[in-house]
Amino acid sequence: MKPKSLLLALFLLNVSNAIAQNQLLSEKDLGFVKEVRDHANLTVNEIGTQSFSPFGAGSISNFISNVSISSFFEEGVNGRIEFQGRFNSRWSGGLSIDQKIGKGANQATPLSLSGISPGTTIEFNLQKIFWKPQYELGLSEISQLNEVIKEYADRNNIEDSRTVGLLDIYKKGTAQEKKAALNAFEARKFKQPILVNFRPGFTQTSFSYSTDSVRLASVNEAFITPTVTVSLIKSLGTAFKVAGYVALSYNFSESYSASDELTFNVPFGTTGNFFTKTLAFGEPTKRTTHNLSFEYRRNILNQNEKNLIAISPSVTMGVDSNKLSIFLPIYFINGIDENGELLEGLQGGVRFGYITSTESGQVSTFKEGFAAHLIISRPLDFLSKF
Amino acid sequence: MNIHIKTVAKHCHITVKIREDNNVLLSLTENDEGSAQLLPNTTYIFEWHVFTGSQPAKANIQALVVPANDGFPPLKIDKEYAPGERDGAPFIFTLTEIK
Repeated sequence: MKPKSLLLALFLLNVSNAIAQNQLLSEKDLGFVKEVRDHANLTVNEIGTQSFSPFGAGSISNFISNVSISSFFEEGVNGRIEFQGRFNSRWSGGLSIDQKIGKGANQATPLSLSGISPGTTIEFNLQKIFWKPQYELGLSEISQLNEVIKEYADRNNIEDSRTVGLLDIYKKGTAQEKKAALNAFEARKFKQPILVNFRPGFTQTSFSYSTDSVRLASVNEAFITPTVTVSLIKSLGTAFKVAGYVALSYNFSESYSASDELTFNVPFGTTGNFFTKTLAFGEPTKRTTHNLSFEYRRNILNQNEKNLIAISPSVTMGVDSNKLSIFLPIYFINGIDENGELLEGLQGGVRFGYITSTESGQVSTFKEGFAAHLIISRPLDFLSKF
Repeated sequence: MNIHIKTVAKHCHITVKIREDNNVLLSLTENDEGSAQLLPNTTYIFEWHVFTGSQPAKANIQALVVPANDGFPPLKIDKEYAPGERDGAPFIFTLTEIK
């Protein structure tokens, strides 16, 4: 990455931190106590761990800063560092840098079907949670519900019936009370949180190629191409339980791909010997892709231990590239301790994938299209302290 | 008369609203506090909502009407939740005239 690009990225990161700090300072000025601030950190860490996707592979941006390394079948090794901060309780954002550090870039598809950068990709992200639930009950209906709640409170020796939650009744009430609680709970609008995620970025890719079949002179050229992803994510749950999310994403990206590599055998003067040179012949070709992706995330919770297992199958369709990918990631994620601090240790997962063309006669066999993506990740908690 | 509300969310999200019919007078989220001016002999709805993440959670909601009013005694909702739960409830209240 060029020094100027790095400086720009660090500057923007500092600006986002300053905004976050100013937000907290203003809260302090208003008389908020340290307890509230500590609890705010707990909440952010909690959301972060439950939606964490190693290597940033999910539709939701990670709420937690982290560094990851991944190995993606034949496409090499990528490193990724992600800085995340929060602006207030329901806004978050940050910056990620994804760098290819292995070989084989000319086969990769930039941040599209595989989600892996072929060069250096810098992405910014901004995410907001929308959750404004409200009971759609008339005064008379609420009054009837309050009678049910009061009966439940009296029977269970609860002094103030206003402290009874509908979940209490759903768990311990009579069949009739449970039904009333469930009906009231379902009669809410905007009951499922919705997240909107916006991720603009750019990728720098370098190529070495030749257009001269006589001298085979190499040309080194770098390209910078844009990528933008917009995701709409809806939390999933049944009545009183939260289960995961579904996400619909659109990605626009431009990229360059190298020509096929050719091997040339060239006479070495008049010695009768030959030397061999392998290089890409022809200029890289530019591609514009539009991808639509659907992701389903299901958290498998472990109440007694701190670890979380999540599965997150996704289908991505290249609108104009006629490509389809199906991924099944399985993540092993550490949670947080009772103080809200991130647990030490590595986390990660494995993504099994299948990528194919959708054009007639060009569909890949499972063996041809199969891909496996190993990920190791480590959260960095320093930014979430601000 | 004013109602003062403070919310503390530990490992969860909280939304608390005070409204008169569909007119929302006060809306608080997560770790927040705020107040709203209320009138006597008017019916208000107090509603609270919680959803939790993957860890055990605590939600604390405290509300107080100043000056003290029989129509709304001090309220303290203090809940503990298992991971991945949702809760909440609405109730109606009416403040009495100050004598």
